[in-house]
Amino acid sequence: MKIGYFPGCSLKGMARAYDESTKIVAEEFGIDLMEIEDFNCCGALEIKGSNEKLSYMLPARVMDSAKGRFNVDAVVTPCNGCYHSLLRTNEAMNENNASKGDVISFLKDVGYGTYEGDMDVRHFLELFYNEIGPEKVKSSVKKTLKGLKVASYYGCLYERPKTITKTGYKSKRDDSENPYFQDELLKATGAEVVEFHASASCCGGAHALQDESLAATLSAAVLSSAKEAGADMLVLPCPLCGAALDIKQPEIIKAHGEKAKLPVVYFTQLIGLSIGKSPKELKLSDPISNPMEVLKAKGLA
Amino acid sequence: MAENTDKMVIDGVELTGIWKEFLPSRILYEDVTTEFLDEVKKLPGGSTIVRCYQCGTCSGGCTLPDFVDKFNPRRFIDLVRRGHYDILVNENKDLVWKCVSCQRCTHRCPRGVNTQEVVRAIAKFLEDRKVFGKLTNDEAFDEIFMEEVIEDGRIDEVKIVKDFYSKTGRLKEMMSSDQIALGFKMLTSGRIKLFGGKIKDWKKVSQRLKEELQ
Repeated sequence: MKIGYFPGCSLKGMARAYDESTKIVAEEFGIDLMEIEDFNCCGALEIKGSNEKLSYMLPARVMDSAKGRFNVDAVVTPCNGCYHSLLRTNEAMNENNASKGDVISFLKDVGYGTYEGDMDVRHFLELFYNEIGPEKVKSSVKKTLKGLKVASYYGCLYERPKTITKTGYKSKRDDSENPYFQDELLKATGAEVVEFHASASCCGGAHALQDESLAATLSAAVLSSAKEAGADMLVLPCPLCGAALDIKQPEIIKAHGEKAKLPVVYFTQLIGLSIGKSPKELKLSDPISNPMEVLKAKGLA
Repeated sequence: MAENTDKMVIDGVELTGIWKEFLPSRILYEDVTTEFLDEVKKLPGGSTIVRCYQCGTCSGGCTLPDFVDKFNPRRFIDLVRRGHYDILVNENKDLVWKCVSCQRCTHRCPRGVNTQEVVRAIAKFLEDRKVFGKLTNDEAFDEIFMEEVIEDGRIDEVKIVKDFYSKTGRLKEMMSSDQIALGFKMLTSGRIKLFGGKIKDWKKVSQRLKEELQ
């Protein structure tokens, strides 16, 4: 299948392991990701709270680029934040928001002028679950992850809020209170998914800079709950949670102790590992939280 | 319901199901000023505040009360709608902006209130009225973010962290040994690029976005 690919800013920076492992996994399973090379920032939370019109124009330009260049009606992103921004804009356009006319004339001025709403916005986790699925992963496993205990963490914007994700209304969307798509995919690799109550809790990443001690407290709660549940590592589908839980982990440990020390990886890295890709190409040495140590100890890397 | 039901009171709360005693009445026959409500309604994301019927689902599921004492979205909305500006400023101004945007409130709201965006609008309302007496971290970050998106089209993680610390007068913290070690690892592994990728023809888009802001 062919689909527009919007990596977002984080995947071109600190979360490049997520970008590269996503591409590897997609290629292996026959998903043709057509990268929107001249993409701009989705605007994230910051623009949304400052200027409503701009908060639609930025994501609209991304979708317009996908449509104009590749003539696709679907766009996929691996980032929870970008997913939220694109869906929110698409929803506003489809509901004839007061800014719609301005957004369209903006795109005619500076873009292809092809996008007016009605884009199928997908999250890479949801897309991978629905189009490929656990069965196909299971039959492609070359190196089982048996013996590895993982906590499957989703973050916030992947399944919430239902007003824009349409969880519970639209088929193909994950369960919004108890998401399970990632759990099922991880089980298919042979890994054991531990019961973990914070799987859809907030990591506090939105305030990682503005209110560091609160963000660290929320992150510590997620990490320690995964560790208490017996997990060897935390697996996630969001580069913003990745920044909060992995890159900030040394600071979190300083404030909250060793109970918050836990390797963090992206789900695409583990799926890649199970189908025989090397830790090097999957960039498993990238995380600050050092997943290689436990992978080596278990004979998986 | 019968008038003379025996009462059961626990911790001062009547629990026999006589609702007017169980929950204080939310329909208040008092003179309310809608001045503040009108202002919040007009801010980005604020319009759905009028839909709230004060059920409390937002506060019940909220991430923050476990970590931030007295954080209560239902109350923020109530205070704005009833025009209780003094209580909002004196007791809640340091709480409102702490929302981490987890979206549980918006997700579960049975009335379609975009609660997260409404809470952000209330924080912005307070910022606009200068009740904090200084530039808040949130304002500082939003301003830098807006500038950098418009100028470059993308966010460079290192640049934005540096500019944020600089704007809030904490540049020294960035020079701690931990931060330098982290920066070194990022740089040597190629995750920090000193010359970020440029977007083709962004100048034109940037110009157009600037016009939009005027």
